[in-house]
Formats: sequence, structure tokens, C-alpha cells
Amino acid sequence: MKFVWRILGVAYGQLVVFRRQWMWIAQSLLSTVGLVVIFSMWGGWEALRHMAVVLLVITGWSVGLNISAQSIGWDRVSNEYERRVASPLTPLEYLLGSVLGAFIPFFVSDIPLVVLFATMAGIRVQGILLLILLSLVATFLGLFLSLSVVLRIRNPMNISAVTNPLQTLTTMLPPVYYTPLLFPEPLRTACAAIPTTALVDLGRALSGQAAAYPVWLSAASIVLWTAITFTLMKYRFKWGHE
Amino acid sequence: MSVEAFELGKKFGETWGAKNITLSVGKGSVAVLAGPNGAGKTTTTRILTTFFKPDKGWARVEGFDVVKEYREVRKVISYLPQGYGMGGDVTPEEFVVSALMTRGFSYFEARREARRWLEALGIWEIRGRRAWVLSGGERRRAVVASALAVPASVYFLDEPTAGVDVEGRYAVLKAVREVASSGATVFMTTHNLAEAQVAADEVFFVNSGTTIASGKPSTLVEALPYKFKAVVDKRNHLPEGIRCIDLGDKVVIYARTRGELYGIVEELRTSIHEMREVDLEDAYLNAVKVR
Repeated sequence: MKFVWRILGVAYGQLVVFRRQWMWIAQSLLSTVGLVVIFSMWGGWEALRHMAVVLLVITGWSVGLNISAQSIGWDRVSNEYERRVASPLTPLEYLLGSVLGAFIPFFVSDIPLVVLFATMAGIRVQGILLLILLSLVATFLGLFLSLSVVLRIRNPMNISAVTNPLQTLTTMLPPVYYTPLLFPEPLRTACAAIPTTALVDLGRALSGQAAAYPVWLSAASIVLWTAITFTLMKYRFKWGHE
Repeated sequence: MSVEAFELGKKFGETWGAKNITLSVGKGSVAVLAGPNGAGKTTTTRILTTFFKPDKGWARVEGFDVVKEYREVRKVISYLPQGYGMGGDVTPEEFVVSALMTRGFSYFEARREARRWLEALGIWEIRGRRAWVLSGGERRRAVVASALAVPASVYFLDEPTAGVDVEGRYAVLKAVREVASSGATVFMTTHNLAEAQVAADEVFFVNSGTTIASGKPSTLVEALPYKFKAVVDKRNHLPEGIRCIDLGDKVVIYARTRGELYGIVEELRTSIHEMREVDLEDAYLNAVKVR
């Protein structure tokens, strides 16, 4: 049981920030509502169905890539990391706690709202549950990718200057908010190599919508990215004995 | 022995952060590693807390090798890094509770323990205030509370009283002595040798990465060839054949007896600003041969 409290202890430290600075959550909620309204106005129910998938997946992706990675990056700068190393806390418990601490605020705010939109758009409960699981996968993949970059920066005094552009690069430019079907081949298939594109397209398939790629292709892309980024991150994520 | 190190060294590129650290600390004692900036105190502490792997020598904490048995070491220590602080919107209570939960305490157990240690450090009344409204000393006391609240066999505290006011420093030292009297070992680093003289059972002087002297504070002071010192105005030149330290417009002179001191002052035709018995700081200065 102690390991559970250790994970919760790491999460607790982060949750305090969100509790005090609730405007971050408010901003996220407003952004979610805004995007849903914009896309629905242009594309109706079909756009809303697509947006529900995107928002569930990308919320998870952002939590991992931006929020958790920043928290871990700042721990390294502030000596919190040193203190945690000199304790029974394991690297896995620390990572889980960091993700949990960032995930909970958005899970209790954004995700119920998106689930409501998804239900309104006709996505079944089973599909919604699978999307939430996919969101968790996106969280960890985003975290591994971000850490594999952040942990290689020698003097990370402004970590958000790395994670924010990384988030923009992976969510705004590639076919995430729009379908890769708009591209001609071979560009269309090549986009499956982008992790966020693969995640969203797999999400569409899991929620019973038409997907641009076969499920195996999206899944293979996600698995490959997870393996590569985990390896890159693990090589730099030292837990003491540096 | 609770903490042992033998010819411990750690290199960063071409520079030795610690070069030749040898020490042993008995259980239930307060040991202080004292030395100037860059002496190797923090590097030594980081090796003992399993953050760095030494490049030479060995060290053991509670009998566990810091390299081969690092997992066991991490279970029995609590560490307060230098410069570690609390900031932003967290309150002292939340800070200590979070630290205890990451050691396996349930939330409710953590709150009970947090109260005990916040009271011991004299900051229970401000437990609910956010860090950004607290003074530096109050924040530091909360940070020390978070380290001492953890049940450990050895506490490593790197500059625990940095930035703390006089009253706060004594609250911290009192808490440190209470921890030691319960059987745990406290391994502290400090620049403040007056604190070490008051709180420490053993002192290790470190300079340029090497242990240069060690012993009980009283033993180190008694080993000095001088018993008294005086701060006097400096004349044109430093007195020959007399142990002294140049302070620019003043000089500290040392002597074996009061009579000898007065004789030196008269010979120099100068005036005394302050005179007292030598202390641990003088023992350190003598060890590093500061002039």
C-alpha cells in the first residue's frame, strides 16, 4: 500500500498548484467549448464527432507532453528531483505520480465536458471508454516524447519554451483537427507516421467512425513511437548515480 | 558507524568536486561538515545520498554501500539539498504532507506528523499561508520540517539554516538535536561554525575536496596553540612572528595567554576592538592556514 501513497504524494504536490491556480483549468474548459462551437458551426454533427475524439486524445497528449514533462523538468532544476532520489520512491512511482497529478485536474474538468459532447454526437459509451483509455496512452506517449527532448537540454531554465512549441508542432500542423484524407497519396499514408495523427485516427476507428488508415497501421505507428521515445527517455532519465 | 567514507572523490571533467574525503560518524550523533564554498561539502553529501557515483574511494551509510546497495541506503535516509525551497502557492502544511506521503504515509498520518514538526519548528501558526507571503526564514523552516518529519536513520541536511534568522536557526538546531537524541544520525553542512560549535558532536573540516581535520568541537579548539584572540587596528605592517589574520584595516592576532596578547598590543601600539577566547572558527582558519 505504501507505494500507492508514494504515488499519491507526488501527485498531491502538483494538485496543490492546480487547486490554487484554477484559472488554468478554466482556460482549458473555455478552449474546449470554443473549439467545439467553432467546428460544429462549420461541420455540424460529423465535426462534433471528430472533435470529441480529438479533444479526448489531445487532452491526454497535452497532459503528458506539456504539463507532466514541465513538472518533471522543473523538479530537476529545483533540487526536488535530488530529494526524491534520496528516498524509497522509485522512478516508475515518480512518473506515475507526475502524470496523475497533471491528469486529475483535466480529467475532472475537460473530460466530462467532452464526454457530454461525444454522447450528444452519437458516440456510444463503449467507444467513449476506449477513447479515454487511448487518452491515457496518448498521455504516456506525449510524456516520453517530451522527456526525451527536455532531458537532453543542458540548462533547462525555460522548459515551456521547449514543450509549448513541441505541442503546437504535434497538434496544430499535422492532420489532427482535420482528416488526413484531405491529402493526396503518398502524403496521406506518410502522415500515419506522426504520433498524434495515428492516435486520433485510431480514436476515430475505436469510436465507430470512418478512419483514414487501417487500425493495424495506426496501432503500429503508436507502438513504434512509444518504444522509441521510451528508449530515448530511459537512456537520459537517471535516478541518481549521475 | 552510521556514515563512513574513505578517500572519497568525484571528478567533474578535469575538476575534482571532492578529492579525498575520509570520515566516520557514530550513530545518534550530529556531524557537521564545515568548509568554504567549493570545498566539496555538497558533492560529498550528494555521493552519500546516492545522487553521484564516486570516482574513487568508498562510502557506507548504515552499513550499506552507497553504490552497490543504493536502494537500501535510500530507504534509511532523508535528504535536504542545498538551496532546496518551497515556492509559489503551496502552504507549509501541504509541503510537509506531500513530503511524508511520498515516503509512504497515508494522507491522515502525514497531516498528524506534519503538525508535530511544524510545531517543533515554530511555524504551526502559519501552516496555512502560501509560500509567496512567507519570509525566507519561515519557508526554510518549513523545508527543514519536511526533511526531519520523515522517519529515517540518517538525515543529510545541506545548509539547513541558510537564510534563517537567529531565532529560527536555534529552532532548527533544537529540532536537529531532538532527532539525534532519538537515535538518528544527522549529517549537516554549514558555513556557520558558531552553529557547529553549539550543535555538533563531531566536526569535519573540508577544504579543496579534502578532509583536513576532524574531531569534537572542544577537541579541535583545545588543540589550537592559542587560547585568545583580539581584533586590533592594523598599523603599517603585520606583526612578525605572531599568528594573525589580515582584515584590511584591522588584524586578528592570537596568543597563548591574555598577558601575551596585551604585550603584543602594547608592542604594536594599537588598540583592541574585541578580545575573546578562540573558537571553532579559529580552529578552522588555523587548519586551512588562512593569513
